[in-house]
Amino acid sequence: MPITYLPLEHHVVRYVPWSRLRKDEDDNVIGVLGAAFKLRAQEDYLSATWAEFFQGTRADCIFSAIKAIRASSFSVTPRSGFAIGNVGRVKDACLADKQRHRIRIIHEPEDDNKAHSALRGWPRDNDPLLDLLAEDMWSETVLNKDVPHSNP
Amino acid sequence: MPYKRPPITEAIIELQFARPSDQSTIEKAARRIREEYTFEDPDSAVNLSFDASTNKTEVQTAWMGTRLSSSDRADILIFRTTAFVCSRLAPYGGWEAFRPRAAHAWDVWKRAAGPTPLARIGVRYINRIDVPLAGNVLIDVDHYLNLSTRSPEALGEPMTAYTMQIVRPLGADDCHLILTSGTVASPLIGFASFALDLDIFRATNLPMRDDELWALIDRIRGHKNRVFESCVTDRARALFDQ
Amino acid sequence: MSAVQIPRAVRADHAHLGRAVIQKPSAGVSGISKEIADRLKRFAEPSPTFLGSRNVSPPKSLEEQLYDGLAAFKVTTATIAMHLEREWRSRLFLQLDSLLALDDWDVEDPPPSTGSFSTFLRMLILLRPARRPGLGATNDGILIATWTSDDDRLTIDCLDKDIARWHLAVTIEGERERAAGITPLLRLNEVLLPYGPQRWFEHAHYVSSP
Repeated sequence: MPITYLPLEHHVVRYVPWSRLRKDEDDNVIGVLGAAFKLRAQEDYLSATWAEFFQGTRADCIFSAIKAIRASSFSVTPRSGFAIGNVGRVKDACLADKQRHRIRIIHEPEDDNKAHSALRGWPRDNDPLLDLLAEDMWSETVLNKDVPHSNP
Repeated sequence: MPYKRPPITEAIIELQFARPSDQSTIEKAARRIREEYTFEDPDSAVNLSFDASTNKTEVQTAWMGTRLSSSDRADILIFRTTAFVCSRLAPYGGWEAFRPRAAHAWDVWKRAAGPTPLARIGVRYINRIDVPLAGNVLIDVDHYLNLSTRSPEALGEPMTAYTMQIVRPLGADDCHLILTSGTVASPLIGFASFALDLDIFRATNLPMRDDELWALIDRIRGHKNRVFESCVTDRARALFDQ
Repeated sequence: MSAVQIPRAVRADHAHLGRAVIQKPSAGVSGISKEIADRLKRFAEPSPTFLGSRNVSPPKSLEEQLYDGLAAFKVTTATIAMHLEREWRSRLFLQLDSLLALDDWDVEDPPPSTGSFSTFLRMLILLRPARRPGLGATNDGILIATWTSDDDRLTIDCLDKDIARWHLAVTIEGERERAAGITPLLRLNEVLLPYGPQRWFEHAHYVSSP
């Protein structure tokens, strides 16, 4: 089966639980923590959803990606969020790091999410890089509570 | 005058029963006061016993009572089969807040359990004196506490820890004092910490009437204050007022 | 003079903080040595408040784990609560309630460990920030403290035994600087000093988000 790499100009949407949203002291969400992009011990790749797998405007694509995540086996909690990152910028940032991570962002559809993508070669122990991604290349945040459950 | 930062880590009023109470009474009392506390949890003891013949350790759990806590877990009320325990953890809010809560809880207990003969009345305040090290590694306990720990100068090096306990009649109200003091591993970085644990109790001629009981508890609290003030130095007091 | 030499503890074991320092002597066989052993044991006994426990077996459900974790955090905070402003502490507890709310907790995550929380508390007493941090948690049980002032970000992962894993991004004289490290709490003030930590810790530099 051919490997589909996500185009550089496309976007990935990653689910971010409440505990990994960056907040101020009054629990106002102000972004994403680097920890949102950290692999679990048993994970080989980072999971995300390909926004442009869906059709329509940018907003339509992101909404559809979020809808796909919600419909998947993921338990999307009320105060969680979604981080949107540009494929090319994420790859460039990983390569520009002194550890020169060559990551591959591959479309790997799953039964419960046809737009699922895997970020392979993802750094396992580079917190400063993850923090940079959270601050810049993968920082656009949409809160779950702000996304309607049906088409706007 | 109350201190700005009293060094109290725990204040306890414990009334030990002359006869054990039963679970249904405890549950009845807990139900009646439940809405005044956020959390209710069982209070259990764990006993480990080793059977040499089978080489196995047996874990036995015994339900002891019910524990009620405020949302910040600082106000605690425990109805046990053997005792009534009302506690306040830090930050201590003063006798004016602690005592009425305890008296009210006791009133609820009495309405559920009926007359409850007591075996021991205790008021215990556990203090921790946190001394900033400010670059020092040698702290003179005498600068903060009027309790002496002496060892021969000939031993040379200073001690690195101490624990002491004094038990003596208080000379008032048929009460006894258990005073325990010692070094504790400081929860603060850059500090040395010393415990001053004052437990004043009475185990004889215990009042049956609640007005007499709480008048005695008020007097015990006064004794405790007197003992505390006699144990700490002005240098320690300065720490409590920072 | 009753001088006590305070040992320099590089990494504190949270389980022993606030507890009596009792040295167990060499084994004895006489009645006196047994009596001394019993007395030493009693010194280490919990007060009547903590004589019993809620659970005698490890909590099974996530709800139980979060419940027990939050209770333990609040009781642990009580050990140093006399050093915190009351309002500050109350609001911190609201943040903890929010962070560990079952409805929003990722089911695959363990709750933050008590060791991590102990490091967090000791860090707060050491840094004495006027502003409380934002709170988060890693997927492996580490509490995260964050401060953000405009684009300047400080993130501290509170590891067990007084270790802080920190990273920051600041703009100083128009230049963007980033730094990261793993540092014992004892040195944290020193490593943050070049980056002007008052930008995060003091209210004057903070602009509220809408």
